[in-house]
Amino acid sequence: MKKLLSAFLTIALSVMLFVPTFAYAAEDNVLRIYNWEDYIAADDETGENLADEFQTWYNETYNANITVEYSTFGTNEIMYNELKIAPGSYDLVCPSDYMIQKMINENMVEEFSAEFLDASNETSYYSKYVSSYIKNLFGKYEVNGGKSWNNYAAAYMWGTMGYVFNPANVSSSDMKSWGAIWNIMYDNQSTLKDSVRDTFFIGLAFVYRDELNTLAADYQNAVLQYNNGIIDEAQFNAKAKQYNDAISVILNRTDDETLAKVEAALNAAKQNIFGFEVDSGKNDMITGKININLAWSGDAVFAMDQADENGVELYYTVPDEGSNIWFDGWVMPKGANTKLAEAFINYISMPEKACENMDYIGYTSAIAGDAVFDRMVEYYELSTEEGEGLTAVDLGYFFTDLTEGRSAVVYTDTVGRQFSAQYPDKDTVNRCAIMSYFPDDVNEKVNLMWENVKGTQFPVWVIFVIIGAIAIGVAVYFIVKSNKGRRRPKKGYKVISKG
Amino acid sequence: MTLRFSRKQLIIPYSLFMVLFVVIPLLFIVYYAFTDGSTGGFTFGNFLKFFSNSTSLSTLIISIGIAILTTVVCLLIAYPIAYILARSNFKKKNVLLMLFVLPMWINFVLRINALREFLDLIGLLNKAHLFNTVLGMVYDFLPFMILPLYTTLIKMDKSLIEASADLGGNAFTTFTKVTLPLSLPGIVSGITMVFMPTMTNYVISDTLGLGHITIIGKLIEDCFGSRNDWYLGSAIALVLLFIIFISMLFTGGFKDEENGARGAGIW
Repeated sequence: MKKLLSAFLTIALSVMLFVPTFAYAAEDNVLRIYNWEDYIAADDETGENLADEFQTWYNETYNANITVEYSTFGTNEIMYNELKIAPGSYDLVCPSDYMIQKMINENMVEEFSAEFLDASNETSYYSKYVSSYIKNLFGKYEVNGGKSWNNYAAAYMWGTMGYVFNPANVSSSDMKSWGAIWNIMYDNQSTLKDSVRDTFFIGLAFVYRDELNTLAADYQNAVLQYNNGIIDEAQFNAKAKQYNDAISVILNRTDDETLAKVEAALNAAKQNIFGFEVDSGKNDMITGKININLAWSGDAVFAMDQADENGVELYYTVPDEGSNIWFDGWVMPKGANTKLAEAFINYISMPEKACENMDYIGYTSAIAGDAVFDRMVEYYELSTEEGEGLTAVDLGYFFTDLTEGRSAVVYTDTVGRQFSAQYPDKDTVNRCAIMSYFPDDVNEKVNLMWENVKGTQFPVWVIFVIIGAIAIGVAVYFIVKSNKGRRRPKKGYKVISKG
Repeated sequence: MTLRFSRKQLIIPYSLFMVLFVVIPLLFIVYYAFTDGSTGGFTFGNFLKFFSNSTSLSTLIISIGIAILTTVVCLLIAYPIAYILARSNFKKKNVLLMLFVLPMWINFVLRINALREFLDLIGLLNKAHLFNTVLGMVYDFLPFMILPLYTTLIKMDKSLIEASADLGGNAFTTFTKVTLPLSLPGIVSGITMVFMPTMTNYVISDTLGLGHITIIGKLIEDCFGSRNDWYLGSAIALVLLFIIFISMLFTGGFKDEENGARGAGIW
């Protein structure tokens, strides 16, 4: 048995030593997709999803014989680690913004082909239908000299971050500021996310609210000037870009002073909030435990839908200080089968497939175009003409390529509800910034800050006293025990009395 | 044809299981705990990082505190019940016992969420995070304390109690001199079954402490999750393992005394 065990141990050790060298190679007729859980349209009855459909479609269209292997992950970090440990194990993955940026910076992803990027190409559905808004957003981030995110990543779903709130119990105007969570009027009524990046962002926006509000006021001024014809569209767009660039800088600060300020702010918030949650927030809103819930727009739509079924009317808002714009996108890890990967991205970027996805997932697709616009108008029962009690929402920034002559202005009486969460208006996206990834050393500091916020910090002397007491206790126990053992009488003898 | 297995062959399935799911993962943890994340070389740095961070140490202390509190409360509730159940001549006592064990058959996340709603109903949910956490732990781990106590007590030779009475011991002396020492193995296994899981069961502290209470299990989870620092996470896991080891030494000590009590003390 001992031999057997030592053999096992040897094998185990040698396996361990070779772990970091596993590598997989792409195969010509296999596409390995790695996506978030529940993040693709699937047929409820057959369980077939768009990836399976793609396999059939591709084989029929090109008379080929490809296989799609589809698997899912739960967090960006799991996906990233898997690619680090076993490079080349996937052809197409769908991480979030900051992870895409990290992977591009670490030279882990393949570039898209010129054919894929060429919108005039018949089958380049992604380049043809992706909203110019997303394209411009990606274009802002220059990498590898003259290239941008557009060369490496294809956006899938996107959205904003804001508060879901119950207007029956809190004042809607108070929700226009991130400060609601710190407001003692709403003591014990709000939740933050139990996730460092999201909650850190809110801390930033709160700490620098004065600066952000000044910039926002400037922007509002420009909006007024534009509406009154004082400045033209080009001037206004320049103003908007300038505003967005300025808040992007503020909302990406990670210097030590900022971290200390955010830590203090979040510690204060911790005293005022109901709690930190990952997904209990939606239900707690419905049952009335809380009235304010920090949420992603996609989740907000879902929460409002659920609440509607329970007779509770919830609203979503992106506070005035500015917020986070997030997206998940497709990237091809190094060594991927780029041909099939690009074909798949194009397949799910056909507007009708994008609609299917949106219907199923509930998030906002990066794909624009007439089909998506029509589906939105139909789904939210929007009007394309002015009417009494209706508010105009200009989605021209997103639906940039509607058929000639169509207007992207819609009219609705449900501002602040599901529609607003799924398709924010222009002013809202203008005050939303992308949160970049943290380099390793900054990441370490942010995590320590988060640990301090989430945990309790005893004074150092208390820790020393407690650990000392435990150590002494353990030592005394063993000393007493060993002494006892020494004094034990020999077998067959008895201690009759003491002393 | 009859199949014959030698003892060696019979041991193979479990040893395979053990090597695959106990030994190899443990080796991985040791490997990661002593590895520098950036250079890949050997280091004590991960332990240093843990022991030089006062928040991490506070978290460890809080976890131990919650675990001790939970264990003590479990023991105080479970012992009388186990004692009464084992002593009573009540015919349906198996049914009663089953009632204590029954909750274990229902998914614990479900039970903890039900408890969360209940605490909200009586208005405690957002007011007493520590109390709620300990309550949830006790709720979840109580059966693990009752069962070993009950099995030890029911196996106890009743004539020993009669003997104690014969020799003039009153009820209290009988309990402290006979019943309690003889039930020590049950107490010890109850404590080990409750103490360690309590330190790491962060689902309960998250659900009932509303994220205000961080225990060491949560810290490890964070290291493997969003922090993406497997090295530090493994080091903390090893520290926990060391604490188990220490408490095992205590357990071993108790066993000695118990054997002594049975062997020499009584006869």
